[in-house]
Amino acid sequence: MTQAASVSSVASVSSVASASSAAGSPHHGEWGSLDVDGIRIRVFRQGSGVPLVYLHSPFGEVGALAVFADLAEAGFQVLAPELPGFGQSDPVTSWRGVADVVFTVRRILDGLGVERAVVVGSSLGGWLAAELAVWFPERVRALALLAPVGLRVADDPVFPIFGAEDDVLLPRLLARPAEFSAYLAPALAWPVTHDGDGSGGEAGEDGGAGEGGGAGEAVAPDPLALPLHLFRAMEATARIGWNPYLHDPALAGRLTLVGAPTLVVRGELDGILPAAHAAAYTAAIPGARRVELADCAHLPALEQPAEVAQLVATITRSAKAASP
Amino acid sequence: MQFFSFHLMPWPYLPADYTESAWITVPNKLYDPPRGHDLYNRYLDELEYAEQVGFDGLVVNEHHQTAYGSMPSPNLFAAMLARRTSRAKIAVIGNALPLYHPPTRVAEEFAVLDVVTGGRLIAGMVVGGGPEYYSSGINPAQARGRFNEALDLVLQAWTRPGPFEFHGEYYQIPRVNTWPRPLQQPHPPVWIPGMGSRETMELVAARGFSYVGLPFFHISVFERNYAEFRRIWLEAGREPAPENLGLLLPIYVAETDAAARAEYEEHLWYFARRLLNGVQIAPPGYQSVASAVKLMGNAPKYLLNVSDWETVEAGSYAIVGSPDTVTEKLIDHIRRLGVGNLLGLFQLGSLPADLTRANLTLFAEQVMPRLRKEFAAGVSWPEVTA
Repeated sequence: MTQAASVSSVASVSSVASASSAAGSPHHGEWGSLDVDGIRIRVFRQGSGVPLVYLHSPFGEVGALAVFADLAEAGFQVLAPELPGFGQSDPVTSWRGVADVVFTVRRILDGLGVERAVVVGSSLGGWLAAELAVWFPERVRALALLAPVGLRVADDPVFPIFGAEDDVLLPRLLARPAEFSAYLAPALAWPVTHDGDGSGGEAGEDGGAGEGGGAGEAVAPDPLALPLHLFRAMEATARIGWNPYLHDPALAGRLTLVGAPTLVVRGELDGILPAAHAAAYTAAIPGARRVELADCAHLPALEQPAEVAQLVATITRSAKAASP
Repeated sequence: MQFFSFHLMPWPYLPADYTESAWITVPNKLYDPPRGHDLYNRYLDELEYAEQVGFDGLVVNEHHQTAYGSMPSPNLFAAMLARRTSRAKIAVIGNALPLYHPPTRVAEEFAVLDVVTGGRLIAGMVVGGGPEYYSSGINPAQARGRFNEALDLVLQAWTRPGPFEFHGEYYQIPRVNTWPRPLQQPHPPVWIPGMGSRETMELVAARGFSYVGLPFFHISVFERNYAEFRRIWLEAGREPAPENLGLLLPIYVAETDAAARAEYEEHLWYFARRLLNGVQIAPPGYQSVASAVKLMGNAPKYLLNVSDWETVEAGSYAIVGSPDTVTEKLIDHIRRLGVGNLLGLFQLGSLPADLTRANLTLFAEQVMPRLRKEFAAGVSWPEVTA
């Protein structure tokens, strides 16, 4: 099957209501959904220019985030799919290993009509981005790994996030733990009209999240929306990384195959991912550059959006310079 | 009416200064093997004694890495009981199917037990507790899928002429050919414990299995769940079947109500505050949203969250009192719930050997005969008598 054929067969992209009143404006972004091999995937898009795919963390951050606005401003077309099982996306229950997940991510790229993109991944998404760059290097123009899990480093384990209480987890996750719900609020925005297959409404209905009125109206905050979002996010993360715990034992030996210019970013205050993991990625990927951000923990895209956008722009320029 | 004596085989020696979880992370240096030697033999004696005083069945179950219960392989305990008893049913409720790979091992071991005991086995099968997904590494997001498929595999292994190929989503076995086959035909009775999820009840009703509600909830939670079960069962087109419903409760009988409380209370609190601590762990993917919401709603009505004796008594978290009190309460609950099987925990928490034995004796001599007489014509279901 040719690439073009697969794109047309897999993707039926439809835009739904905008997250803001300025529907369709590249500066505000919009929600859409696509069908990927029978799975409904919700996508947030913002900006136009160089395609950039953002793969979220275990907490499922998407929507109108500051980092997407900054990236759009810097000349990127941001495409932020909600991975299967997160947010309003359908789950894939047939995954048995990370290779299955990577294949799904590749099909999402097909569905988005993206031949080649800058791929930015946060934590879990960083792991998947690195896998994508190993298995489908032709799809990755530049790679930005933000606090990427995915490796096992002896004596330096990733903090066990499953079952961790908020008061233990959040100070490790964020330099400003109180911001947690604000960072995830954009992901809880629910398109006020949706495209009819009904499957995407399930989580919203379970949680009692209302379906709003006319296009552009904000949906009233639902106290159960965030717990429900996190419940699904942790289930989806467990599906991928319960055991082996958030890593692929084979990945370290394959990272030498990554050809794209690569940036590894980690927050100095990260209490989830030990520094040794960022170092291991940097050492294993040819030519990779490593940056540590001050006043930042495990989610740099949320905690230091301007900085991250600037770093991504820089690594993308180096990709342009490298390829004729 | 059938009476079962259930044992959890708990660890009664957690030090007073240890107040953390009794599950998964409880440091195993707290397990003392010489004391364990005495304890296992004492607990097995208590199960054997229950047969001697007239119980119809003995019950064991599976838990891992916890002071709550010391039977990581309940089939071992069933095997020990198999040769030391001759009349009582042996109910294993159950084997946590997703933790066995391949699950045909469950079909084999249960078949051995059934053949050796001359058909006295009750085969329970469960998803396994939430904590057990941390202790086994099995993916909790696959728990339900693995359970359903493994259950199907075990049933096929018992009933389909072998050899045959099993090709499932989780398990692929080129030649399934169970040897020995179970003595009870087409297969031993299957009991499925449940926490009130509709999914489990529908499965039990569809296949004609038996249901036992997981214990330590306020009696109102059982009333709601069992009403739902009876409705689902009847909607599946089946006749009322009290023999397919079991009620599991801690029971303590003494000469008087006051004596019962005085002897029992501290041991119940040891259980509720020390051993239950950690049971509520639910890994991601283990429950559906609907089940999690339902369970959250029931949490205030769970013994772990109960702090005073009056609530224990009023909510029937445990049935404690004189033979008269215990008999009256049980008659009431059996009637309302429509259960044909009563599973009593006669040892709980740190309850010592002498009190456990006295409890079993009093129950067998002064409560059981009255309940047998009361329900001599069988238990009926409220829906049908109404």
